[in-house]
Amino acid sequence: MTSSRVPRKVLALLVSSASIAAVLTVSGHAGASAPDRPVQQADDLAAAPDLDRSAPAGYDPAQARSVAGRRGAAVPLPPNGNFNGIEWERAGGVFGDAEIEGALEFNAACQWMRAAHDGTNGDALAVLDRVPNWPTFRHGDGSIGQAVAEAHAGGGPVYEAMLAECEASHDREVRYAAEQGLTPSS
Amino acid sequence: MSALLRRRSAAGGVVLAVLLALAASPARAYTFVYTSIPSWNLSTITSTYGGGTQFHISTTGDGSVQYRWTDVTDHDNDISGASCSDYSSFGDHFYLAGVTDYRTLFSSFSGLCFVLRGYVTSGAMYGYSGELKR
Repeated sequence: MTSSRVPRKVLALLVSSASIAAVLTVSGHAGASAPDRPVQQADDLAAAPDLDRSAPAGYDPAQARSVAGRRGAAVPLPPNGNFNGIEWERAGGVFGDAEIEGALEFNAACQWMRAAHDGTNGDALAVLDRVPNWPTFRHGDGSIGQAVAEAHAGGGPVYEAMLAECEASHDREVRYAAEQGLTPSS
Repeated sequence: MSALLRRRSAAGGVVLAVLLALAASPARAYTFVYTSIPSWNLSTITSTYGGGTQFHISTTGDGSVQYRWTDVTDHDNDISGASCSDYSSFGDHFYLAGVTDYRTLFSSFSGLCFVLRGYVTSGAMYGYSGELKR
């Protein structure tokens, strides 16, 4: 009995080790597919409810930056992207939840638009496909859908206009973030 | 024909050609997009119209963004356009109380996204309506 228990323990240990190895392998695979996370986030955002634009604006610039920091975690960005360059302080006044969300979503769409143009991120077009359904865009004039279609096609007037807008905004954001002592987005 | 007369004749021909070219070129027709801005509340603290409602410069206008109060305001106020992406200001106009004419906030390229922001110099204005032209 004793002699048979030892091999069973060894066997159990081996099985356990194999299980751990399998889990690690699966984890490794999950890690390899981590770039899909932005697409999942983009899907989640597309399924989010409409923005309530009737809510009163009550955040001062410092609070708006803080709220943007929290809400921004649910908005997908390319690697090294961030929202640090939004000029809450320079714009001044008060801000509401819906407009903060709207600014984040537009800013993120811009960052993905630039990533798609640069061709440096394999998820860019997949994320952009979902942008027209994000809360701040879904009841808009439809131009974002046209811009995304043209991004797939490699160019077009609406895409070029939005890309120009996004690049100009990014230039401003880099300067502003630096002025604020924050890390600019890439 | 003297040299002076020949030069005058040549100059007259150039002027005539320019005038004919101008007459022949079709005038650029713009079709602006108008949007009602109903019941905007303003205080001395800058705020954004419509909870951050985003607008775009139309593809059929001249690239300008203009705003007018349709109600007769009773406070001086300032209306501006800011970037949807980073909230930097594209431009503004200071309206004296009672002004109901269109004034240009800024001009840029078609498709540009902006939000409307505003404040009054003193007191507050509740429920005043206007119109956006782009």
